[in-house]
Amino acid sequence: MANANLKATFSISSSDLFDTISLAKTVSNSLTIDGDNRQGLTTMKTSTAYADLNVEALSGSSAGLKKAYVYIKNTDSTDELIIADDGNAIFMRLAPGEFTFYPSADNTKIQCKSSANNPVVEFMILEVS
Amino acid sequence: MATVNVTLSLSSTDLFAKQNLSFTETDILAPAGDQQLVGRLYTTGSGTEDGIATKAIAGTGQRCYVFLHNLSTTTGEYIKISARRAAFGTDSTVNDFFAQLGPGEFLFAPLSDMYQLDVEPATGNPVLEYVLMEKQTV
Repeated sequence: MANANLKATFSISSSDLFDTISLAKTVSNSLTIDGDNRQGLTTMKTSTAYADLNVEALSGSSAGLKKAYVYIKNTDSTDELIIADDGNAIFMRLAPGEFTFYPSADNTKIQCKSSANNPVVEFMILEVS
Repeated sequence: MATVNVTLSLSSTDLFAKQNLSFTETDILAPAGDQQLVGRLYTTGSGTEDGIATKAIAGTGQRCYVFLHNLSTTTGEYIKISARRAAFGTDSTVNDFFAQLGPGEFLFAPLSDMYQLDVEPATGNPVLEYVLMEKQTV
């Protein structure tokens, strides 16, 4: 599978988070995708039991080990999504409408479950070799 | 309560042979915790975990929005990100990291279930810029 390029841009701004400074920052990065697990945008109905988002174990051996660029969004308007690592340790909770983009590392899988009911998770996983 | 606007755009023309990728997500955050931080950290070095939060992340679920940006341009200077779960003043468990930022990379996440966020470079002393916004008060 030929290497691919992902352009990622993130902006954050606020005029009232601090009294003395305004916040306005945009960063862009061109990321090389060269792993063997390339999952495009996917939606999945969750439950209160963990389900793996990745279809095969993350196994890259480059910097950081088992690295993958991960996008996750909670498309629900009521319930939360809970994200845990391969040891069931929770490190993220996505409230309704919230999203994340981060380079996962050191975990063979990314798990997701709901706080209640069956909210739909939207996600993408792009593994690095 | 403050208002923080965030926007993420992802695009690619060669990830898939039959499909281009291009989308943008936006959100309006309302962090209301008693710890709102923006800063620049010169990491200490490999073998030392530097904490970002100035006090224990609090509130239901210990939640915070985090933006991190590794400013290094040197190959190999990636930064490991780990959760300090036991107590604010102790190092997180060895290898309990869930993300790593290569040179120039960034992340944005609504993290939870941790008292502190630790960062440790693989090598060198890469500089990390960050915004940490606690979501709720105790």
